[in-house]
Amino acid sequence: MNWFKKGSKTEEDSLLKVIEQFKKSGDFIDFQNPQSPTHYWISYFGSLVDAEIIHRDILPYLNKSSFKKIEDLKAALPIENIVVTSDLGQIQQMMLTGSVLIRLNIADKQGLLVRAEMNKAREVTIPEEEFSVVGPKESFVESLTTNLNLIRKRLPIPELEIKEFKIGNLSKTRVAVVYISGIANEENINTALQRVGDIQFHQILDSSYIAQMIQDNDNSPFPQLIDTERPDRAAGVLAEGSIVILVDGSPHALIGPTTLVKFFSALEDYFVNWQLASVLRILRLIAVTFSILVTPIYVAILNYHYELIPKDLMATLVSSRSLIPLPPFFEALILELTIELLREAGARLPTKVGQTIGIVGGIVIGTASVEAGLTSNVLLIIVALAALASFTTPVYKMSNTIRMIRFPFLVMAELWGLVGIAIAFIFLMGHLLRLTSFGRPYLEPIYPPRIEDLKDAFVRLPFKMQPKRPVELQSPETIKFSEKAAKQKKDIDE
Amino acid sequence: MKKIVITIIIIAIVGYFGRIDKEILDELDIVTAVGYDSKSKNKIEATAVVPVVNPDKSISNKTITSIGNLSKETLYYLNKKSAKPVVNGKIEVALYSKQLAEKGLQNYIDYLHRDPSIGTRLLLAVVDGNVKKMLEEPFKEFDTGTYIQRQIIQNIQNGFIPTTNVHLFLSSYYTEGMDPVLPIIELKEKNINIKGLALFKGTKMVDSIPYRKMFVFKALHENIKNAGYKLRTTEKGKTEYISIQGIQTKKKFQVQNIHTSPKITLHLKIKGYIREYTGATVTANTVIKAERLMKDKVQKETVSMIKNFQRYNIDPLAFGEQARSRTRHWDKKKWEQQYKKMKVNVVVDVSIVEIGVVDGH
Amino acid sequence: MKVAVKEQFLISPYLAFFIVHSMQTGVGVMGFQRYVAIYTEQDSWIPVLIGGAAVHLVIWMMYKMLNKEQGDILSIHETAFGKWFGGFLTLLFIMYLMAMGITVLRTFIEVLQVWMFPLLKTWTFTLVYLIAAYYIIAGGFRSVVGVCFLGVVVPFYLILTFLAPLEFANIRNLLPVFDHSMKEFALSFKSMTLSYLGFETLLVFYPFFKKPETSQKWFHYGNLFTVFLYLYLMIITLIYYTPDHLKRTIWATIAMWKIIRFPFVERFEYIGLATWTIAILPNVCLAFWAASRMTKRTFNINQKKSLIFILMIAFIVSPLFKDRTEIDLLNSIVSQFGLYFNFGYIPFLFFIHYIMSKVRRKV
Repeated sequence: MNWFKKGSKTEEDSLLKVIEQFKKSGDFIDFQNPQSPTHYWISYFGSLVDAEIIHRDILPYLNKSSFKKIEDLKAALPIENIVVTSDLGQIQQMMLTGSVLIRLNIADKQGLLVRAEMNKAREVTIPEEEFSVVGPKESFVESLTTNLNLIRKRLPIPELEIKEFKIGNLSKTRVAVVYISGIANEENINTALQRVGDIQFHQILDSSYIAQMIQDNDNSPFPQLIDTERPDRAAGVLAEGSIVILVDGSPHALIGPTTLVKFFSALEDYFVNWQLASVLRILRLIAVTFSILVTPIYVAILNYHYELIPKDLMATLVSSRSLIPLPPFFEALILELTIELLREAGARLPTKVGQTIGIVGGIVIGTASVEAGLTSNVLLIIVALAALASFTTPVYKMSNTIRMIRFPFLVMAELWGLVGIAIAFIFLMGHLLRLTSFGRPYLEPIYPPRIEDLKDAFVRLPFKMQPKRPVELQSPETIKFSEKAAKQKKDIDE
Repeated sequence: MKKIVITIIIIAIVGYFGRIDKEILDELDIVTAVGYDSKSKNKIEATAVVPVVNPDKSISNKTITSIGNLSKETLYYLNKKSAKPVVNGKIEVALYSKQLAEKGLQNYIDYLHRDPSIGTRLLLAVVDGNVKKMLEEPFKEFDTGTYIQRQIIQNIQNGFIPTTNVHLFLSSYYTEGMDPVLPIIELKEKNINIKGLALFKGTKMVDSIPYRKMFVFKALHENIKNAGYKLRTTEKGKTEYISIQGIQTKKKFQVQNIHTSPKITLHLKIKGYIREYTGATVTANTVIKAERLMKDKVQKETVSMIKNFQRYNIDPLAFGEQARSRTRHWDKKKWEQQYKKMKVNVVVDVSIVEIGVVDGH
Repeated sequence: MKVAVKEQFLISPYLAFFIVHSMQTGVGVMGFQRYVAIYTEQDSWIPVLIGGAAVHLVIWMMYKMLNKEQGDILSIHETAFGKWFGGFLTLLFIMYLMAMGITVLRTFIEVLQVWMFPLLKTWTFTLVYLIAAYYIIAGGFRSVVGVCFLGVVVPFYLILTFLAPLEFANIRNLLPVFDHSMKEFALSFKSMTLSYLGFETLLVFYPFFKKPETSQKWFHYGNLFTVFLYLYLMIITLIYYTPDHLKRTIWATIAMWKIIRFPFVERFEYIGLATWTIAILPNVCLAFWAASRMTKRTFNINQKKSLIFILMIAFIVSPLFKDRTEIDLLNSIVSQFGLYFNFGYIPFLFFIHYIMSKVRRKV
């Protein structure tokens, strides 16, 4: 299997041998056209090329007149980027990505390569994970070309640079690193390019492969690159100085460097009023904190700190738990696992069945377990709310993380009550402090504290008040727009 | 790999050796009230009230009783008699029988201060009668402990009981120039009745104030925010009653001649409105009359009350604290001698600001 | 002798504010009021101010020396006393730093054992806490400073909870003002300064600032903020307790939380203590970081190794202190040492350093 190794090793092989090898595959087509004036040989992979291009743009021109030299052929075809080469490696690679090889004689060492790859991609559809009521409704698809088009359309400037890589010694996946030169920090660009270039893997199926291979800390449960399916989000962060990585075959773009708080900002925050956006963001952050802490706090208080519970609430809690045989920790653990189970089952099944699972799980199991005296209804409410709250996170991968880190908190709450929760928080804090994204601190703007970036973190202040790019990204061009022009003073009635 | 193994070992070790005593909410007997009766010479009987939540969500009472020498000890004995561990983190009221209060509450108070799980909003009260019997009395809506606590708090906010809790009690007990007071309650026809105030010298109860004089005491002790008061007058030979409501008071101290022979002047301002009058009409005259009546009555009661305090050499109104905060190098001993003979002037000012929504006839 | 630190490990000068404040507020905050009020009763807020002023002076001296040296305590010692004796004095300082970390942790565990979990084994908690400390310190000085920052910001909400005791406050408790002798003030000043200790770690992390000279301003502000916090707490404590009551209350700050009753939560001391677990983290981390850093500088060994060594010692030593009296003894020894170090040795060193740097320059 030496045909996927590059040029130099196949040098002793002739072009014919390469063709011979290709012929072992049933979808390889290689024939001489006897009807045309020139008896040229044409060979290609039927599964890779677009038959329409061949029939419309190649064959008619070849059949028109006779050619002596291969260069004449090149001039006759109305297609750009035609390559005439004898480099076996290049021929191999191009044919495997959908080019058509044309030779005048069967034993020719030189061939003409015409690109005719089939571009079968999904239509651009409505984003599903990051759906927003207001704003654009386009989402990335599996074709890199389409995705790049979606971004370039939004940023028609020459500074938008795209560096392409081919990654995966089997999959040869096209990976594009996109940035705006002059706005993105040079160091960040180099980090991204170097890390993408250094990837050694046989196959890249999705952008999350790339994400896992270029992230700073492999052992962290936290995603260190945002993945988005929205071209408007990608364009938005490019303009701020971030770097976007697109992978062919993946409808998700990766964004870096990023920070923890950015995972909790939905794109819709920029489409609505800043007051509303701020309230929604704060709500989301409260929901996340609630989601992580509420079950552990329940376990901690019921296990150790009965003193904290106000008298009126105590009767409710005691009566709801009076028939439960399980200690609070196991009660909470079982319920949490049930919810995870429901979510997992719902995610694996087709949409319509998934809905049924939700109903069965939510209503039947919940009610039945309370009535059977296996779980207390107070806890059922708490766990259900916590699960609901975890879904408010706009980035899907982060919401998974949030549901995961609840469990260490739960264990520590069982061990040392509220102090245990504090200890778990210390570990989380230490971890987040050490975490970086493309070498930039992950916890920014909380630490290192940056007032300028706080304007678009927990709240979103009006656009007028944010004339600068985020400090986090260390953009060489810090000013987004002139503050003075935006802030013209006006007197009353003028 | 090595790291993972080490982590697992550490988690196992900490998880095993780090375990601490659990107090699971529904597996506890959470005491809401404790009461102490004097049993014999050195023995005391402790009663604890534990609310029991029934499956139909109604709340009933359970009382546990034990006899011992110390208050902590008796609580410990309570554990012996209960199926679940008895915990005292939620005690809302601690009741002491009058006999015990007269002997001194030193031991019990020390315990309340020392145990970190007991809150500082805990209410203390003296019971005239048998404490055990009172705590065994069931009340609707709440368990007995909560019921007594609610009633006392209600009476602090809208009635005549001076603001009290264990923190304030300890402060006035520890501090020279202040003496604590506690409400006295009794069980009367299956209801809790507020009977008066117990006056303490240190931790020993030495005297009491009846309920009808508690308004005056509270007015002198702190600023009242809302209370009612009833006056009796005679008009044309007939006994009539005036009810004054929404009373707000303000007090001010003036201390003179601190070093030689101190003299304290007490300014008391009372504001209120007439709510009810059994006589014919409320006129401007009635208002003036009511004001004068109330002023005289309050003044008389105040003077006699303070005389009484001086006789017992107790200082529940914290005159000593007033003097201390106004003197450099305050001398406690000298003050104690001076206190008995100190002159106290009382200036009362009553103003009735509203007469309700009915005018004239 | 300049100590150079690589650019990417440097921190912004304004973070000095959080470092100094988080170092000064440790376990002391929970009960410093009593030790001061024993001597000066209602006037105890005055020693808070005087103590703060004295600390400002010492900070100024430290910065004078450090600015001249552009290094840390080892370079000051070497200028002032030469290589060998200077190294020996630095070793003493390292031991003091270690003792400081151990004291904070052990005292906090004692508080937990008294207020929450009487059966909590000291070594289990120490183990977990030190692992957390190791994880953070291993992230370098930047993450230690991050902990200092979050250790101030996260528990900050507690400041509001101290407004609740005002319901039972009596402002007359503060009167009469200045009613104590100079001797009493001196004694209470001495106990108050103990609560301000911790800022001497500056002698270690000074070279880690970008433009270290500019951090002085922030360092003073940080101390000022500590003074404000202590003053706030002291005044609230004094009007909530009468002096005689306060003298009998060992952990006045925690005891004040007991009065809080919100509709959804009562007895705030349990939440307060849990939050305090985070607030003492900067003390432990920075103390052990500084100790390991100085070990590295003095003996030229790998900081990771010296850190593990130091944490091992802390893990073994901390459970050896078993009861109140032993812990009290540990506390008083460490704080006495700190007192003489900061207010005796630093001025002395300042003087010697001044002379020696003149002498050496001439030579």
